[in-house]
Amino acid sequence: MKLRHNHNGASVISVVLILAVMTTLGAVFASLFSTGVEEATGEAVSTRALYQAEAGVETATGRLKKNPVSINWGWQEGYKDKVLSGGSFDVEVLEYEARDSVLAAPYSCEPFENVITSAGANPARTIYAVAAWASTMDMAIELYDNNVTDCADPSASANLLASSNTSAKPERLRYWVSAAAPATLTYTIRVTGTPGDGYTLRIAHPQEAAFGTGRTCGAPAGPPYDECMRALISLGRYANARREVFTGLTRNP
Amino acid sequence: MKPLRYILFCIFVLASQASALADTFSITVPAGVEVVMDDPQASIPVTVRNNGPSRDIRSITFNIDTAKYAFSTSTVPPSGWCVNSVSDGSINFQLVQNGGSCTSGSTSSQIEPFESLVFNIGVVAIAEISDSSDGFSTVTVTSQNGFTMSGAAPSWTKRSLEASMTASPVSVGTGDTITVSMQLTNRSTSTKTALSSSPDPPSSSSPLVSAIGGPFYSSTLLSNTLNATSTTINAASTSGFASSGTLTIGTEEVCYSSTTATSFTGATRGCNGTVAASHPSSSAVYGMDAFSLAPGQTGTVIWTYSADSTGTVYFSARASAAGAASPVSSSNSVIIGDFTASLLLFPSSVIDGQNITVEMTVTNNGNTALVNVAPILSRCVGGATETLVTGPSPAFIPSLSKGSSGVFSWTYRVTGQVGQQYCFNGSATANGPVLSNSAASNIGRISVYSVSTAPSAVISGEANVTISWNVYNGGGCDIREVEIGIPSEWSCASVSPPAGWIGACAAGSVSFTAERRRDELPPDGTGTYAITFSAAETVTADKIAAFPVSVTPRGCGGETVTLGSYITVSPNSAALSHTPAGPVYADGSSYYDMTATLTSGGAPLAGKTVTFSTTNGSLSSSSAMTDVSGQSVVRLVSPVSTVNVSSTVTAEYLGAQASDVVGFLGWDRPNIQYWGGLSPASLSCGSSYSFTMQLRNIAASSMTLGTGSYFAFNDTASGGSSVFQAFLDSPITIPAGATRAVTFGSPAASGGGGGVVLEQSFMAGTYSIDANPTPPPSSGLFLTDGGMNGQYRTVADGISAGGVCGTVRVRIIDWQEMR
Repeated sequence: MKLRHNHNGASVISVVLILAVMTTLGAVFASLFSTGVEEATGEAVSTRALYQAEAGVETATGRLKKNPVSINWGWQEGYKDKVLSGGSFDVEVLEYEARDSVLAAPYSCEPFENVITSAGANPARTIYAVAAWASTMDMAIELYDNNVTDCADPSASANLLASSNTSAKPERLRYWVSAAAPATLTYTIRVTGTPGDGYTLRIAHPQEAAFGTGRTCGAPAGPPYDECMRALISLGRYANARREVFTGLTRNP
Repeated sequence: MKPLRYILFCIFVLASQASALADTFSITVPAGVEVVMDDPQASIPVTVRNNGPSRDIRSITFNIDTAKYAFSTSTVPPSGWCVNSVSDGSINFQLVQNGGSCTSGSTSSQIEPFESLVFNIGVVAIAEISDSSDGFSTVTVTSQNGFTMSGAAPSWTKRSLEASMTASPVSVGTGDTITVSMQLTNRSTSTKTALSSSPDPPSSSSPLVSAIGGPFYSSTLLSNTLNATSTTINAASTSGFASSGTLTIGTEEVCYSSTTATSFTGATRGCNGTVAASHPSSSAVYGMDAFSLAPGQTGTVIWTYSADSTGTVYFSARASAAGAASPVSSSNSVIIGDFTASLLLFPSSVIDGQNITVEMTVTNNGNTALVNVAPILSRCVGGATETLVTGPSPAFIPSLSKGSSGVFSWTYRVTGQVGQQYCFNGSATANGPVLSNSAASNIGRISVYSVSTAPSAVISGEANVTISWNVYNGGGCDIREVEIGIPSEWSCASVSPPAGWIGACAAGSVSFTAERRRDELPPDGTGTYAITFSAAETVTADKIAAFPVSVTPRGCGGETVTLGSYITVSPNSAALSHTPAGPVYADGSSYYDMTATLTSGGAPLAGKTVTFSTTNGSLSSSSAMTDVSGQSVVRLVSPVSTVNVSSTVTAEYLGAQASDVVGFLGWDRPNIQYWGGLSPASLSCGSSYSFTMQLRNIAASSMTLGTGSYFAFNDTASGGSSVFQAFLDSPITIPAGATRAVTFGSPAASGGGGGVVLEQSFMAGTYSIDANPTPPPSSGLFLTDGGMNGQYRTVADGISAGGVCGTVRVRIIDWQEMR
């Protein structure tokens, strides 16, 4: 009996294998391609949300620098859901203070005044503090709900509302004031670290009662007063994306 | 011969009787005499002439139709005469006898043949529907068997409308605007329509002005800036405006369809062929729709004029309506000129040897500061002798900025005979040299007695009003009785006589009498007689109420002399306050801000022109318009004095008046004053500047200015917050009485010059440079020697900033995305 070599079955298997491989590759490529499109679309939407936030900053800045500045620099009504090119933005207008110093002790306290009002589209309620330093030693910041009379023992005169004590540099702290309007509140930022280390502390908060166009800000820290500067927190929205930017502004060169 | 003698005697007697029977008198009233219905001060000047030939007029009776008039119980008789009886329809005058009685007995005051005498007969004209021509029903002379009246019975006109005119401000520069207001009241019993003036506009006394606007029938102020397209005009008040009609704002006319309490709505801008424009806040808004006045109602019509040439002008016109008019009314005078002076003396009635005050008000209506302003005063020929006691105070005013005014005062003693007059002429000078107009004061007269009241004005309906009459005895005999007439609308509640005197409330008058001879008011003595009224008369328009004061001496013939005294009753009230609380230094630069608040029935009066005056120091303006809160503010700059002084500031609007006294601390240290020459005066934002000016030390000790001294100005008046501040280039000593040129051009107190940049953020505009003793913001001069002599001074000239200004640059100093 003579064996007869028949190769037809091998071809079928090869075709099946090739088809399987191609199907798998197609599926993989299809999957890969689909994911790339989705990622590109999300980034564009997010960027547009950032543009909305930037537009909010530009709009509010333009409003603040209108003449006469004595009236407009004090504008603090903000914007809420202001529609722009398919998106929208919210802007919160705050006072911006520079409380740079050097730690004379392991701590330093910086009180600041906040007038809480219900007037305007988006009344200011955010406290945003950022501390940075050059030293290799770490620092931290804490927010208290009153004027801390003894910085060594802050809890004796105030309650701790928020703190940031990480290994990151700078330390950031954000707090939303929920007190009913109208109210005039004094809060304190407490900086802790190594004595002798200098720090830059920027505090954005609802403006103090004496906010104006002169060098009259800084209550209740007292003289030397700081220039009355502005900060804006602008939240941009586009589709389901959200981006938020913070800007500090001064009128003087 | 006997029969002949008898016949001749009979002929003589018959002739005498015939002659006596023919004695006549005539009465005349000057042409054009007019009275206003319900005017309690109306009076008719009647000249009574004895046509002779032989008898004297010792008693005369006037009778009048009581449906039209009532004789006034406050009628003041001619000297030597008295009112024997008075009722609504009849008044009889007779002669004051030596014992003081009022009879028809012969005295030297009788009207002898071919003599005449004027009787000013007070009447109350009863309101009717319209104007009328009236006269006495009969006039009789019954003395000496009677006279016959000859000639035509005189007549006069009874008017339905009452009008008073004011022109403001009282001193303006050429090119400025004068506002003339006519306040008119309908005194008739019928509503008056188509109210206007005759002529319209009121005529000016000289062709120095030209009419530019009016008649306007109401006024208010814009409560905020109005753009050229807004259809709602927000104003302080729409009271007095038509419910729909036309407004004038600047040169634009605005037609509106309705009003709210504080806005005109449905406005068509630029109607009637005018051009719509934007208008700043507090711009004047005038109503163009003529109003009607119901009986008793009051309204105001306004005209505006441009002051074209220098001189003095006043305005005259009648108020007019259909079938009605007012007597001719004239305004106060307005002096037109860049540098004006006016004179006022008071009191205008004194006794021999009494002191008077003379005040000269100088006003700078020009465009630059006046430096070293000094007065010149001379006596005019009035018969009396005026002897200087003190003055002028101050001797000079260091500087007067544009629009501001100051006052110099003198005290003089007046001596002379009763009836002699006193008056003054004067002018003022300033560096340049410049000379003001020549001013003439009012004329005063020496009299036997004088009377003054305090207060001189009260508020309508004010409860428990006490008015004091100060009676001065300049005669040779004691005064034993003082009687004060009271209008029927006033009700006496209580009286306060001087010690040793008694008095009691009574209808029509209050009589004060000395209890004993020793309590009588002696020659050269002053007595204060006060009456408290339960309430002041209620009026809807300003009214002057007459309170005649009759003074009766013991001896000196016993003749009662009646003096006029008047109280203004106003429906408006004024209050005046000042900031800071003071006292401030009398250094010629420190100041108070004086705030006048006008209200009517408790509501603020907006858009009304308040006139200010002061007894010391200088005012930034002699008039100012009230804002939406009824407030107007002027600045009182201190006089220069080394001792403590005070100043009384007075604010007036029609009959409403308020005063405030402020104090100044003497400044006895070196006193450096701006003495003109500020350069440059026109600036471009973004450029660098050094300023030069003249400074003078007006004190007796020298001062060395250090480089910490600065010159500054700011743009807060335009809503900006930029400050220009340049320090003195180098130290400089200014000896006592010396003037030095100084330069401020250093960016820092270390001096050195180099110029200081006027920031581009500086708002364009024209700014005054008032001292600010409590910077920030810095303004004016701060002059220091590094010791205790630091002083803030005003620079009376202003600066003008232009070019690329008002650019607010905002710099981003922080940006981060929040996660």
